[in-house]
Amino acid sequence: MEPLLEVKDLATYFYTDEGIIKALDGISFSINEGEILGLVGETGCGKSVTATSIMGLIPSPPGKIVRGSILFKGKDLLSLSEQQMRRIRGKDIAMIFQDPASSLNPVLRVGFQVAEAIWAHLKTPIREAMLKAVELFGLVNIPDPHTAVNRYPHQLSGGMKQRVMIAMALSLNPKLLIADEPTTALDVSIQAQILSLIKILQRDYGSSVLLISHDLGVISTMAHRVAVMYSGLIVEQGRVEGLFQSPLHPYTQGLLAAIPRVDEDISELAVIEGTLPNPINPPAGCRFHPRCPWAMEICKSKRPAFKAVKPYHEVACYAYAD
Amino acid sequence: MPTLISAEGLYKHFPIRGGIVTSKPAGWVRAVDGVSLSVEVGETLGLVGESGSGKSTTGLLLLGLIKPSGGRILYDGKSIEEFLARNPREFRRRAQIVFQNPFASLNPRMTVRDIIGRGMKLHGLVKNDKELTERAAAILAEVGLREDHLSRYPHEFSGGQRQRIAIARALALNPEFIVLDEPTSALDVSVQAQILNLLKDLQRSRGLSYLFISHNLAVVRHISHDVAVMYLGKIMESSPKEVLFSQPLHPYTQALLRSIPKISFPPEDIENKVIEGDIPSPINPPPGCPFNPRCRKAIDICMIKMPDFREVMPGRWVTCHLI
Amino acid sequence: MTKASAKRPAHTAWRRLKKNKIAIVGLFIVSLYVACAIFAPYISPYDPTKQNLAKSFFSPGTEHFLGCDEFGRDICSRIIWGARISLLIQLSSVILALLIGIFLGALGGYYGGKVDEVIMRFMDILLAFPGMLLALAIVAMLGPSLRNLIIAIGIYSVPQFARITRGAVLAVSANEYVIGAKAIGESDAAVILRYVLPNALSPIIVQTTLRMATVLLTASGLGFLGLGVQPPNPEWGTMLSSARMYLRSAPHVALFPGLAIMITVLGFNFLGDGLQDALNPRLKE
Repeated sequence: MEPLLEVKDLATYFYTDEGIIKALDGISFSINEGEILGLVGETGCGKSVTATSIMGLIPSPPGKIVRGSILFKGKDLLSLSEQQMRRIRGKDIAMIFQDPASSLNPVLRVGFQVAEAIWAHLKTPIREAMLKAVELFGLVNIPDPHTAVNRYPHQLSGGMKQRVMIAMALSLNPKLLIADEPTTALDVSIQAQILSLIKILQRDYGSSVLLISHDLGVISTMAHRVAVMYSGLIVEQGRVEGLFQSPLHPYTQGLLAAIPRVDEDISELAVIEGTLPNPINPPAGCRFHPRCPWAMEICKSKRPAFKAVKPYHEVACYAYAD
Repeated sequence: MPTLISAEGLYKHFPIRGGIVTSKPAGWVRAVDGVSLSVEVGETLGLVGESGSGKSTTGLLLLGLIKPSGGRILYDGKSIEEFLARNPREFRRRAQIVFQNPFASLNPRMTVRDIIGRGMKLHGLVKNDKELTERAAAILAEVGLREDHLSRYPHEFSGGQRQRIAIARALALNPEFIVLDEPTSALDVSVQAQILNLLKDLQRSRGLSYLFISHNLAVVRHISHDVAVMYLGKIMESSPKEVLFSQPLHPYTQALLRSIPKISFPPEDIENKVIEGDIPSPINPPPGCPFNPRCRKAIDICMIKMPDFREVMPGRWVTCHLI
Repeated sequence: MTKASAKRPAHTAWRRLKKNKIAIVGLFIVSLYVACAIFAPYISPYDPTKQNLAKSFFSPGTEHFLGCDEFGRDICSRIIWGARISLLIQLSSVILALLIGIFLGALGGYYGGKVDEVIMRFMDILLAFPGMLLALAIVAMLGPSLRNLIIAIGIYSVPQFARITRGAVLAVSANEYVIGAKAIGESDAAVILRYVLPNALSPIIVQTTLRMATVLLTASGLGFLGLGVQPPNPEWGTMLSSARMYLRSAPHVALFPGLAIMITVLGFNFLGDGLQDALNPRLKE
C-alpha cells in the first residue's frame, strides 16, 4: 500500500548568528492511511520542526529546508508554490498546537473562526458554514454548541479551546492531522478527553495522525507506530508494542527506564548521563555516543544507518550491526 | 515519625478587584478552602492537584510567604505566626522553597556564587568571603555541579543545571523543610530523573522533609511517602502512598488514576477512561462536593452538602459522602 | 545551553544594536554632541560670548565656519558651548526625574494596593497637564534661572519614569526569584534593590534616552520663550529666539542653532528606538 505521507531524508537548518542549527538532519518516515504515528523525543530533538516542515511553515529566514522530500499522496510538497501549499494546509493537512490560545484570534467568536475556515476552503456560504460549525462543536463534545459558537476564546477553558481547534481541523475532513503536543498544556483530567477525541477522529473519519509528544504514556496509548527522535535524527522506529516492550536503541532504553510510572513502583530511576547535544555542533558519528553506555570506536566517526532488526522494528545503532 | 509541619483548616481567599469607585471586592477566589495536612520529619508529602486546586498557594502558606485567611499552621509544635513574629530569621533559615520554572527562579543578574551565598551571608552563617566561596562550592558539589560554575550567570546553564542551582540555593541555609513546587515539570524526561534522584539522595543524607507539589501523579508516586490529592482548594483524599495508588478511595482519585495514559500492553482504551466535564472555577465552585458535577457516583446529597474530611481507616482521610 | 549563546545579556544587546544602521547613526550623533559638550573649551575656535560688532551678521565662510550673530559672536563656538549647557540641563533634569520616578514607580509597583493607587493617581494628574505648560508654569513660579529650569523639566519628566518603572517592577516581581528572595529572609529594600530593579532596567534605559530628546526640546522651547537660559549664555533655544528677528536679512543666524536642535533630538530618538529593539527584541515582531 502506498503511504499517505512519506518523508525522505528531510533536513531543516536554521541559520543564526551563533551558527547553523541543524534542527533536522536527514529524517525519513512514513504514515499510512488511517494510522497514528507517534513522534517522541526531548526538547530540541526536532519533533516540532518536523511538523512545521511538513506544513511548509518554517520561518524563513532563518530557517530553510536544505534537502529531502515530503511526499503527500505521491506529490512532493516541497515543490509546490506557496499558493498551492495554502490550499493543502487546513484542507488536506490540518494541525493543532500545544497552546490553543495562541492559534485562535482573540477578537473573533470561536464559531465564526471555524465557519470562516470552512468558507475559505470550500466557499460554503457563511450562514451554512455557521450551522456546520455548530454541528462540529457538538461532535467534539462541546456542551451547548449553539451558545458556545458565540463565545470568544477567553471565555473558554484550555480544554474547550483545544476542542475548538479540533473542530476546525475536522471541518475540512483532512487526510492528515498533525497534533503537536496537543495535551501538554492541559490538566490531567482534561487530557484523556482530548486524546479520545483524536482517536475518534482517526477511527471514524479515517484520518491519519502525526502525534508529537514527549509523554511516552500518551504515545503508547494512542499510536500504532512510534519514531524516537534524538538531536535532529530518528534513532529508532517501529510498532508501538515492539518498541516499548523491547526497545533496541540505548537512548530509547534509557528514556523508558528514566520515567516514573503511575502504575508501578520503581525504586531507582535510571539516569542517562550527560546532557543533550548542542544542535549547532552535534557530536560526530552517532549523536548519542557521548552518553551511550555501549559506545564503540566506530560510533564516534560514522553515523549508523537504519537497519530492520526485527519485522517492523528498525534502529540506527552499531550494536545491532550483525 | 514526629510531625515537622502541619496545617489545620487552612483557608486562603483572594479578593477579586471590584469597581473603580468602591474598594469592595467583586468576589473571592477560594484558592485554599479548609486544608489540613502534615509533613513528617524526614519524609515527603506529595501534594497533587490540577490547575486551580490551590496546591501552590498551600505551599506559600506553609512557608508564611502569604498570610492565611483562616486556620493555623504548626511548625515543630509552634504556631508559625508566633514563630515568624518572634524569630523570622530562624524560620526563614529552616524552611525553604524550590520553584517550577528554573528560568524564572534565579536572579539573572547574580552569579551562582552570590545566588547560593546571599542567604548564608544574610543569616551570618559564614564569617568572610573566603568561607562563603568554600561553602558555596561544597554545596554546588553536593548537587552535582562544579566549583568553576560559581562565577557564572544563570543564563549560561541548561534547565536541569539551573534547577540544581535552585536546589543549592535552598540548601545553603541548611534547612530542614523544603517546599518543592513542581520542581521537575519544566524539565525533560531524562533530566527529571536526575533531579528526582538528587532530591531523594539529599533527603537521605540530610534528613530533609519535603512538601512535593506536582500535577504529575507518577512523579509523586515515585518520591512521596504520603500523598494528598487536592481539587478546587480542598483535599479530597490523603493517605500513605502505597495504598493511595493501589486502592484509591475517592472517586476523583480513582478517575484521575484511570485517565492517565500509561505504557501498557495491549494499549488501553482511552475512550473508556475519560473524566467528563471541565474543572469548575474556584470563584464559583459548585455547591456541595466540588467534584459532584463530574462524579459518576454522585448522589443527591453530594450536590447539597460539602462532605467532611474524615479518617475512614487508620491513616486514610477522605472527603466523600459515599465512603 | 549552547556555548555560543552563553554571553552576558549586555553583549547580545550590543550585537543587535550594531546591526541597526539607524541606531548607529543616532549613537554617532549623540557621541558627537557629548564630545562637543565635554571638549568645548578645546575645540571651539572663538570665545562664545566675545562680541565684535564689526563682524555682526558675518556670513559663513573660512574665517567663521558658521558665520556670526548680531553681536558678531562666532555661531560655531556658541553652538559647541551650547551643547555643554544643553547636556547639563538634560543630564541633571533627567537624573532628578529618574531618582524620583524610579523611587515612586518601584514603591507603587512593588507594594501595589493603596500606595500604588495614590502614587499613580498623582502621576495621572501631572500627566494631565500638557508637558510644556507644566514646565512653563513651574519656571514662571520659581523665576527663570538654570537651576529652576532643571527643576521644572525634572518634575515634568517624573510621571513618565514612574509609569515605566512601575510596569517593569510589576512584571519582574512576578518572577519566582523574587518570592525566593523573600523566602531566604531578604528585606523589602534588598528585594527591590538587588532583585527587582536590576532586572527592570531595560525599559528605563530606553525611556531615559528618548526622554533626553524631549527634555532638549523643552529646554530649547523655554529658552525660546525667554524663560530658559538667559543671554548671553549660548543656549540653542535662546540663540534661536534672538535670531528670529533677523530671519529675513541673516537666516544663517537662526538656521544653525535650529539644525543643532533638530539633529541632536533626532540622534537621541534614533538611539532610543534602536535600544528598544536591541533590549526587547520580542516587541518588534
